[in-house]
Amino acid sequence: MRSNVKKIVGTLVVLAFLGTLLGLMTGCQLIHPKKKKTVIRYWTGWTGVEMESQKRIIKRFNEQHPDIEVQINTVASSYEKVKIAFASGSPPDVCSAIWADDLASYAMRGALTPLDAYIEKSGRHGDEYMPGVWNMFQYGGHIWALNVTTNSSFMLYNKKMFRDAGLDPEKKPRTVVEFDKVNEAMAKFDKNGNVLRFGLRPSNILLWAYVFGGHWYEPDKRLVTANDPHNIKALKWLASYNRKYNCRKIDSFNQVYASGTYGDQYAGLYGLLSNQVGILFTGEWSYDNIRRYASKDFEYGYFPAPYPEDGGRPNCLTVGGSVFVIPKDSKHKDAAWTFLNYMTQPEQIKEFCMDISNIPPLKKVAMEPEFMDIPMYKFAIDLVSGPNAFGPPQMPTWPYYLAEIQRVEEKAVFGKQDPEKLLNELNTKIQKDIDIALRDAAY
Amino acid sequence: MTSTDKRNLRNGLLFASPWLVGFCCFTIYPIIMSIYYSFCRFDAITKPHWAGMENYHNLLFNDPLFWKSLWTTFYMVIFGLPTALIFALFLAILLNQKVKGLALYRTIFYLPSITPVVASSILWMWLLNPQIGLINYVLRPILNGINTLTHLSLAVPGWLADPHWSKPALVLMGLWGVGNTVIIFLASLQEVPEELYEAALIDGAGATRKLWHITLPLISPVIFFNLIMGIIGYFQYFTQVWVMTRGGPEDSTAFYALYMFNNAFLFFKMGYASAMAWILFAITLVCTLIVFKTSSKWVYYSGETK
Repeated sequence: MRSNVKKIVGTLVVLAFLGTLLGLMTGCQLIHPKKKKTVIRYWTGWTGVEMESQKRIIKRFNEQHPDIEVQINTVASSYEKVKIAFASGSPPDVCSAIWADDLASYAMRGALTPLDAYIEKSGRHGDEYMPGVWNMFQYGGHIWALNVTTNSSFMLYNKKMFRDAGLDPEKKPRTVVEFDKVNEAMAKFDKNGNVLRFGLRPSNILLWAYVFGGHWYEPDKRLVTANDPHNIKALKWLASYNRKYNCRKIDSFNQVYASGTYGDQYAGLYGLLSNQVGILFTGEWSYDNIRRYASKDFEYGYFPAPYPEDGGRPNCLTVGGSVFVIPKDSKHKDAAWTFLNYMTQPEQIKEFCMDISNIPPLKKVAMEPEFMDIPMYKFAIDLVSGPNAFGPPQMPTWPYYLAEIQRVEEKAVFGKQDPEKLLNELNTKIQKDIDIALRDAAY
Repeated sequence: MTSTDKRNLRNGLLFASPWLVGFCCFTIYPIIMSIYYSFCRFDAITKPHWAGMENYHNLLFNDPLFWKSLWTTFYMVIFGLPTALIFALFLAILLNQKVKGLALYRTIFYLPSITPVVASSILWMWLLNPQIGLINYVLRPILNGINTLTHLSLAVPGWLADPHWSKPALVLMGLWGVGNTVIIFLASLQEVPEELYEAALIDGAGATRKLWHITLPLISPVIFFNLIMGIIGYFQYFTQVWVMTRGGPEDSTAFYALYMFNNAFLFFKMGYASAMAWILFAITLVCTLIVFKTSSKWVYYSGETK
């Protein structure tokens, strides 16, 4: 008797377990047996204000498209989750949690759907986008992504501090020589060598190589150009700052004001607003924050990255950010494109960029008065739509290359190693790496 | 095997099956596959290509950062772990005294361990800030005092901004989170029989002798346990540097696990990262075995005579 009860209970438990498992596996189908709508799984990395804005736009999309239902999900800042989803073979149908830096890596491996045919069919054109932005969607002769927002970057400076340092606040440094002079006038240290006031220690060789007239990679020849003479010159210039000043002290001075410490509640602007950091390398998003946090008498100006007169590039900057893709393993590519096409239309882009205080990447939208009437935005838009806006190189090992570039910069600036030797070594290493990677390339 | 045994075995396996299935699919299978991937060129997206010993060869002979990250990790195991253990033991002994407000002290010293690592790492970025951090705020007047007395010119450390101080900064930070170890030590300290101390007292032993000849031998199994767990934990040191430094300045905090993660998830080099994982496994295994082998020399279990 008792053993029978045991048996029954045991069987029931096992059945219940199997039932749950089965239910989990087929859950959606069981609950919604007659589903006509095509469900598009859309993953983004955005949260907060960006997420709210996207949700509003998607709600409208779903209302206007009765046959498609877009479901949005955020991976927050964990973009590596997307890689795992790709590896698993069931990525989302549309994804904007992909860095432009990683785009060629995915494209080369055949993980994405080329968008050329869709773009043509929908009557879209590459010249809708700013050229620098459009360029970063490409790899191997195809278009792999579109985006809905872009950023500009430039120098923001405190006029009062220029005046205090005996500089003319209306005379913006145009060349690197003038920029060095501004820093010399600004630099003020106490007897222990701690920074009391400084302009800006130039960093980020990725950008400055472009400013000096160099480049990192030639996609057509599959040639790494890390040791381009202009790159070497740029790195030498960055390193010169650690000979003149103690850059560690400058960095820890800046760290005080950077976002992450005090800066957070002032969006990293505190040093500039409190008359201690003379120049900040930032972008158009600072406009809103200045309006929010600066005192009434705060005077500021802005100028593009200064360049060397012999062979340098004026109005130079790098672009990047998140891009929208349709993974190759998406089950509903056509519906995915319908959604992506909708998201990248002027109306939606305008709404999104205004919500999050960014620059629209579409030329036509950027020309609208909502953006152009703000002088700092006009300046930023002119920069990012100019000929010297550089996206990540169309290179499938770029994430690794980029990390190595940053290491080389540290070694040159703080380790005081020879920039030329470092860049030569980097060149050899990365060329070898890309040659191996391209052996198995799908595109 | 009788029929009852068979039935019991079957039922047992069935009842354990939810765990067994999960364990096989999500633990055993990935472990086995990672051995295979470590011999492949594998980006996690396309199919792996067999590459033989290429990954291992490149790691050992062509990758200076591999060696640097290994050294950084060993630094924490060699310096960070013993410092943390000694500090934890010291705290546990203090918290084992009969003083007023003991429960409060115990709570205070345990509290940091319930803080998530990410949150405490951000907190420590503030504390360690060279210019406005609390640690240098305390150190500065002390060093200034020493400087005026001795005519030296000692400066406050740059901590995480200085490649020479970044690792000691992490060691220091490790001391803050020893609460769990303290609790385990404390439990074992309370197990030490009171009569042994009384006997020692009658023989005229002082505090140091009691510590050395009674306390330490009797809690040595627990020290051993904490040492092994610490070795394993420190070899996987990751979250703190991921949050605080990302390996900088000048690769001084490029820990092994961080470099492995970067290869796997940022650089599309899953095969390379798998090879790194197996090398780390081998190293951890060897270190643990060495500690186990030597343990017979210094770990005493009650009832044993040495």
